[in-house]
Amino acid sequence: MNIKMKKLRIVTRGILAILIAVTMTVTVPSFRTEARASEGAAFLGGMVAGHIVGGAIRRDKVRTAAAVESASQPRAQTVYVQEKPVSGTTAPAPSAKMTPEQKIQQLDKLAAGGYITPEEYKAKKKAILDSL
Amino acid sequence: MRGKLCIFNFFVGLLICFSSAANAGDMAPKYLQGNWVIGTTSQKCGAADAEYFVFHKNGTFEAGRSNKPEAVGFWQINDDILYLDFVSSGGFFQDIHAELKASENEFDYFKAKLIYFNVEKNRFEAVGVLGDQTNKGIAIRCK
Repeated sequence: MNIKMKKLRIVTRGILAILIAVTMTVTVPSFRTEARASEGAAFLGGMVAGHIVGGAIRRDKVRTAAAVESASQPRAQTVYVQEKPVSGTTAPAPSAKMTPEQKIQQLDKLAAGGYITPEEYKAKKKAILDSL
Repeated sequence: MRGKLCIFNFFVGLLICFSSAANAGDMAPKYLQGNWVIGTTSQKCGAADAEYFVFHKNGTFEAGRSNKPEAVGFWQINDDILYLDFVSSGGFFQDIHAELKASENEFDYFKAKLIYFNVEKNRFEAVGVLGDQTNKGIAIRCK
């Protein structure tokens, strides 16, 4: 009885294994690919390679889905703030792009505020006029 | 007549015993210990391109191709299924899938099941299952 059960168990397992192989070959296209790839190549490696590639594809799909979701979300507007010039760097002179008229007006303000002497005012004004 | 029946029964019993041993339904751990190659004949033993398995007595195993290890881990038999827990790198199998070159030096843990059948003294067949991957192979014992 025990031997019969044992033999039945062996036959059942054999049939089960063959059924799995046949079912996978018929129903899962990737299995056929893997089976061909592993012929004479790698029994274990074929499965490992297929598993990693399959997993990598799934990971890529997840990444793609995440990227699509991220792209569909409204993005916060970036506000750029100009930093103060670092000491030692030369900022462009305010007078560089000023017209002679603006330069003279600024010069007038400086003289009225007492920032420059009348001599300096005259010399600077003369220089501006000479540059015309 | 009774004597002939006894002899007949003896031979039937002997035949069943041999048949059972040939199938070796219960794969004893001791049976698996040693060197194996994947192939149809023992001529592949020691071949440069052979895929090999070494099952150690201490429950560890090594598998590889061309004498280069590609998977190392632990093996155990439970309920007539051979379980393999191992570490490997996809970079080893870029000859199978070229895109696995990106997996060089990246190691992952894998768990495979081998449902074995047609177990003979120096040979058995198995269907391996690893995740959604399945493969069939014949293992030949090497001396």
